[in-house]
Amino acid sequence: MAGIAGLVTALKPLLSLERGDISLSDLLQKHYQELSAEEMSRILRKLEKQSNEDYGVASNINDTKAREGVQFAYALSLSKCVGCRRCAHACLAENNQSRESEDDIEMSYIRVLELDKGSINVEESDQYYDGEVPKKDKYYMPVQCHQCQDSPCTKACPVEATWMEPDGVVVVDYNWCIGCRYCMAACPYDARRFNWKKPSLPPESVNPNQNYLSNRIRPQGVVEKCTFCLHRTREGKYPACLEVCPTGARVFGNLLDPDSEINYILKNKRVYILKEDAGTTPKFYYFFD
Amino acid sequence: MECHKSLTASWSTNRLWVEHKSVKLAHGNNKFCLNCHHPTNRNAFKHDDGSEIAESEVVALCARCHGTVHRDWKAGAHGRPNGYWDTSLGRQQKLTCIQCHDPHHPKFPMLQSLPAPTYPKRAARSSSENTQHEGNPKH
Repeated sequence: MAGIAGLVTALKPLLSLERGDISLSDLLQKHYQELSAEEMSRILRKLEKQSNEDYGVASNINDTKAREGVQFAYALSLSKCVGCRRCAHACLAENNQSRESEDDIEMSYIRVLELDKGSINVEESDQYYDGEVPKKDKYYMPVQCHQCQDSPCTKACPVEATWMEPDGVVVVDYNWCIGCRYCMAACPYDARRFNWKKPSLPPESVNPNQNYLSNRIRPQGVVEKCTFCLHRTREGKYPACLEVCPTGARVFGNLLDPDSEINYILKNKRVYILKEDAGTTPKFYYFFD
Repeated sequence: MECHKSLTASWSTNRLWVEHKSVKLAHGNNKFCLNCHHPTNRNAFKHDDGSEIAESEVVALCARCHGTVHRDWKAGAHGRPNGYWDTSLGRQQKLTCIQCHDPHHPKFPMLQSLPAPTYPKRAARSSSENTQHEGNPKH
């Protein structure tokens, strides 16, 4: 019996082919790293058309490649952050996350944790605080993907749908992901999100500047995550979360440039790595000043 | 504008009863106008040696006391940069001290936090938290 059920499940993609949900070329699409420029271009145009049909917005989906001599890293000052959550909301808007209906899980890649001063126990943190901030005797720790150099999520993926790019950003090919969520279980930072449903977005909320590996509107049933806004940062801009921070707590830059702001922080400040004992070598650092 | 050309500003803050009433000075130990402002040129600030600092060079004034912050700022690690991290691709704009900090009242007021997004629940959370804020996946 189990054998038959398994066979039916294995053949399920063919059923959607029959129904016309996906085309043969979708089904036979190669892995991202094996795609030629022409094939990629064809896929991007197709995704743009699909997105236009589904969301009524003419999106511009690119495949911006990593640049030579760049390794991205992020630092965040725990002394400056006041927990206003502007970063978490900027993330939602930038990355086209579902946020129309009441029951939507707003899958912001950033969770801002409120902790007691003098403690660093994230188990006792509160991510649902509200009101005026910063509260007395509290401090705030935004957590997002740490882009680990030794990333457990990419090792857990059974189909290699997630990997680290040459500039150090861990990405997901949403067309290749099978939605098993092993990567989410492997992540020590709770940084990955699963699309339980097709994202609902009113046309005015769609950010039309999109990338294949980052903020294009994801299909249902795949995992997504923070990509350090690679559609912005690979073009020399700052991530959306940094741009809205009213306190200047966030520092972003190129690790390979000895004069970058991020290297200044790593050399001169007291730097703290969250869950350092997990041994994943994050490229996201907290510091005090 | 011309007041302090003829009438030298005094170290005492008595005149504040008449002029500059809107200024409520709460900058730590810094209790006198002339700690920062130049006594005769209203548009300038004052160096340690009494020389003038132009308004556009205000960073040099703040650096008199806040040396370590000034060092961080010069390195780009204090204050939010705007524009491009890669200056070969676009312009980066750096703000000066008083574009963010009110020099008369440098302590920032409290901010209203934006509402918490509904986060998906995680299997490893404590049971109390799971019941309070349950993610509600609708397939």
